[in-house]
Amino acid sequence: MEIAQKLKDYINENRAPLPPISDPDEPLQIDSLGLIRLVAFMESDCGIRVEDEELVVENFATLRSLGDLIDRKSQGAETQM
Amino acid sequence: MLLAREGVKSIILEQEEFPRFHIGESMTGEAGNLLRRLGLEKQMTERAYPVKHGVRVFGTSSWFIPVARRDENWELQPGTTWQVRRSDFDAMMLEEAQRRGATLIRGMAEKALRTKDGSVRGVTMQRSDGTTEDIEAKVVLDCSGMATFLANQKVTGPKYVGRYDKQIAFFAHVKGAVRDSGTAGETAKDNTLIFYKKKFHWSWFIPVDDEVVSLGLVVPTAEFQAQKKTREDFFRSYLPEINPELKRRTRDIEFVEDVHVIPNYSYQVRGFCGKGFICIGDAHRFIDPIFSFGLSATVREAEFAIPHVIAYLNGQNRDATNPFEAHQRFVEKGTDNLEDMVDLFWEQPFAFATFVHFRYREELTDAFAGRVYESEHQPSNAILRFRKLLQRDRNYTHEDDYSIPIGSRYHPERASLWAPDSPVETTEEWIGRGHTQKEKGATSAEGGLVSVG
Repeated sequence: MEIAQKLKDYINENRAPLPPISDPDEPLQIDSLGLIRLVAFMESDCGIRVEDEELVVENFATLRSLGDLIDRKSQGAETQM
Repeated sequence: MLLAREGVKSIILEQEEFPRFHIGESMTGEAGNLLRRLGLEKQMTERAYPVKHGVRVFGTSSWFIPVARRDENWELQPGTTWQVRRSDFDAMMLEEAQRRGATLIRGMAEKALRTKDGSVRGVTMQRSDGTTEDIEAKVVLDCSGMATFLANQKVTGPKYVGRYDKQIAFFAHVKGAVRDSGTAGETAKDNTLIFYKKKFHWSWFIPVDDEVVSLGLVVPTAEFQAQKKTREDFFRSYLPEINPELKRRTRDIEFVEDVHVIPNYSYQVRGFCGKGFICIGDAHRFIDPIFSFGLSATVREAEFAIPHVIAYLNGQNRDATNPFEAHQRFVEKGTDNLEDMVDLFWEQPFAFATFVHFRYREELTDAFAGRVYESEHQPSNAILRFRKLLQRDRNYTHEDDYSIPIGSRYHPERASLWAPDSPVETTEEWIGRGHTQKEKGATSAEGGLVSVG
């Protein structure tokens, strides 16, 4: 599970005043509007397109689930190459 | 009014004395624009109907959908529409219709008059003294709302139970509810507020004048039945539980209207147009009140019907099996787009919210404004993506391909979306299991009817 530092930084900034996440299984605790902004950030700043079918809160529940999503997408992209 | 503008003399058959209480108080942007096209903006302003700038939705967070119109270059521009106390608004519209040339007859539509080939040629009406009279008409426009007069007369095709038939709606007017205090935009004081707790549990908050707010509570019928309370007690006790923000805003409310209830409000009629008749709005279909489409769909369908009625009165399509099939298909396509919106909102709320705020922002601003018809660039990419996520196709090649409720237990291959104790979460999962259920009927009450001739 590899999450780019700038994505982690974005998540931690938007969780404030909660402390930065250290446990990959800790809930992100971002509300629905915050998650939408996270999706937008992933697309605009990280080049990660979240497909419509992937827009389920479970994919954004923890750092681990988000990392798994990104891993799946990377593997899918490699398969297509 | 629209018919009078075309020089057509019409009769309005109405059984109720106006003013009378009626639900359906929030307009979409396009409903408001239709009133403007009818030259009613001045009256609406003089009567001080609350001005709606948009809808605030409160779940775990809050978001705002503005009312926006499309200009002549199809660019989005800020817009407003109105909230209406229906007792007052409907009386205004009835009076204005008469002033513009419609004839009002007080009475109840008792029976559809038919020709030998099954065409509708008018109605038999019953007066309050019990006497009856036949009213002949070249076209009958069924505007009876949830009474679904022509469907109950078996003039139309079957009436199916809709996806949200196991929901129940409670509503009342109150004073003392806390509104926002802005003059425009997201915090405008007369915006619609929607609050939701969880799937299928939600409330509406619609200002109807400077003091009074219409409050609604919609839940699964099973929730109400399980609590074994009167409608009033259930409404008072459950409403604050929907959302902390709603609780805050309704702490000191005073009821100025009884608590009304409408159960089983979701239905769809197949074949709602035919020789000599068109069913308008609720008279053929009601999905769910969540996005305030009811009043909007009704007035817009009425406007869309006019050219078809005029053509028919001028002798066109008289020999067609269904002279109004083009209108029927057009209307149903638009309403199906609305249904896809409502369904995705409940089934995949995160995807829905992402579409609204980010991925298909303009397209969904259009949809919320009531621009859901083919002539308005629909179905949009957003709606098509909704259908893909919902795993559904829509086909309109033949009359039998549409007006079949998605997930309805009336469809031979499909079943109801949810039973109160069902372990199955979504229609799509249920469809995949290939369940079927047997048929059942639905009824409701009240309304008026317009005859044209």
